[in-house]
Amino acid sequence: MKITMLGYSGSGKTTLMHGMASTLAPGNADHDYALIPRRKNDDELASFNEEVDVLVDFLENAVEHAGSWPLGTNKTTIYPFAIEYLTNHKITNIEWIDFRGGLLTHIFKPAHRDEKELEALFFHLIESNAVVIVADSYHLSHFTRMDEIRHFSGAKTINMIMNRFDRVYPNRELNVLIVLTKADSVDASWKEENYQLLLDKGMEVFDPVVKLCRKNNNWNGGILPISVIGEQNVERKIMPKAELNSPMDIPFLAEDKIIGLPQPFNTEYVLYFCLGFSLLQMKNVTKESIADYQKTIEKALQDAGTLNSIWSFVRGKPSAAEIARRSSERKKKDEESLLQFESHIETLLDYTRKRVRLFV
Amino acid sequence: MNVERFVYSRTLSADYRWIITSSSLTSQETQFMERFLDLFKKYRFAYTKAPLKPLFCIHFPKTTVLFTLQSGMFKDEFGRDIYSLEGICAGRVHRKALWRKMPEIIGNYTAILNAWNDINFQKADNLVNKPSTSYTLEDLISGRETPQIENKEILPESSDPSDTIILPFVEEGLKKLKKTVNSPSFSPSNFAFGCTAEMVKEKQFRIIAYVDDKNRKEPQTKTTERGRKKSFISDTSDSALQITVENPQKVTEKKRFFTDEKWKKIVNKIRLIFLKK
Repeated sequence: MKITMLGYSGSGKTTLMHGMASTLAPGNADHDYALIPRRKNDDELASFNEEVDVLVDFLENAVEHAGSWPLGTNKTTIYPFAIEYLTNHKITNIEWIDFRGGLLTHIFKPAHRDEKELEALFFHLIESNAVVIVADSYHLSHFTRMDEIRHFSGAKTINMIMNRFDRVYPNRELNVLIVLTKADSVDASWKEENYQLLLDKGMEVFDPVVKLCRKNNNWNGGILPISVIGEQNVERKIMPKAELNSPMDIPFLAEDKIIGLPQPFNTEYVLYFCLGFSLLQMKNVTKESIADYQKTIEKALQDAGTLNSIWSFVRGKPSAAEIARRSSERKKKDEESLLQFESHIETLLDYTRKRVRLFV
Repeated sequence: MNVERFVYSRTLSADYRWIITSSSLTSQETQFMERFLDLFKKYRFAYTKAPLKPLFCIHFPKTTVLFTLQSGMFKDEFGRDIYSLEGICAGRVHRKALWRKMPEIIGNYTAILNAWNDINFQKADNLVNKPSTSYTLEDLISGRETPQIENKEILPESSDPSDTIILPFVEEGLKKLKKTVNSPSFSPSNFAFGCTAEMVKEKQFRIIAYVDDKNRKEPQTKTTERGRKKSFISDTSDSALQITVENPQKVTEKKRFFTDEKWKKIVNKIRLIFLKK
């Protein structure tokens, strides 16, 4: 299973992922499900030392352990996880794609744009079971004009990409969750009645995506406010930029000082949504659709160009098509094993409905 | 002797990229260096505790690069620490000249390699792949506090020139590094002063100082107290220091069934058979 996060630089993608893994760390009595960082996306259990090492390596970056925010992501990174239920009952492996936010922030600036990285982003998107759109709640509440909000939150770019995705792959099964991060930072009025105002604004900002989710029978969508740090654990300082290089840049600097032990809220529901709906889709998808999926990937790669195959052949390395075929096989294996865990689907969806506003 | 600067970092609103680069660096070389920044980021907690900034000298086929890694000098618009890779490079023709200046550079590397002095951070968002201006090394060195260079020390001939010298990643180790590179018998070599075990896997280094990272998997080494085994470096100032001598070539050979020696023997036998015929 593959989950891809999309969002501008600084929106909180990496923080969300570490926060979620920290909340769902193995052995946490508060949660039935656990998200376990792995070295590789396979079923083999490493030695006790290695298992603990991987956990420690990953969780040391979580805010509650590091005592600071994760550094910005300068390279798109794929994090393999295993998902377990209660007594080490493994459900599936997932690959969590943490994209370098700058990739989207500078998508229209040729000098900053990395074509290869962008190509990889679209490739992962095509393969993903779920897309987590990450936007900073503060941007939604701070700016007044809708075009400003869409520009600075990244919604404009993301709406465009998702629109094209739906256009090219109309039959693709996808789950889209809009995550409004840093929900603790907005004024109290935005938080009333379970963040009603914030969620309304989020749906308005991402209106094209919301409409796509409603229109496309193969898509499930939802929106969720989250905070990795929780209420009153951060001191936010907003300062206007001393020198504004361009009116297109965010006009302020935001510095969030951690002043209390993190009390994350809603982070685990990101996983529940992605897992619940992906399992539901997988249950319903027959082997024919697996074959269709594979064909689509191959077609997409063919469209990318035959030069890639020739170049790979010359270099003696697997071609993009070969890589896609292998990953499809892994995916197929995942899907087959997931059919055995139907019982989890309803539980996960029940959890999801408690906190996620679904686009139905 | 001319050198060029390079910086890989991010600025206030613009994401990570090569802000200043040198035309003499290939894309493979820049990617190779980016890997060091990734690892620096991965082991940032270990580096936070370290008393010094790391320093790397790597000889590529046509270029020699000297770079350091750091974080926390600036913050981005979200208040996150910015980390950066910055350094200088010189063409192959200047390799020896650069090496001769190495003790002076090591003595003041944080200042000499710091390219941010030439960049207005607040206005650098639009700087991408800006070609470096050419500097004379003397210009970069001059004006800095001239470090005291100890008398040139003749290093004892090693029985095995491929031995790796392990130094401690502390001020004392830096002094030893300066002395070692200052030795006339020590030819230009790669060194990694303040590295992790993962970094060492990326390249063969002649001199290594490990940052104290918990993930360091000890290579198969012979640890000897100084004095018990003859070291490359002789210094009486700190007898408690431990110098580890390892031979990476031997370590890799342990894993190979057909070692170079075995191949030589096989080739010699075949040659003898043909000669007899």
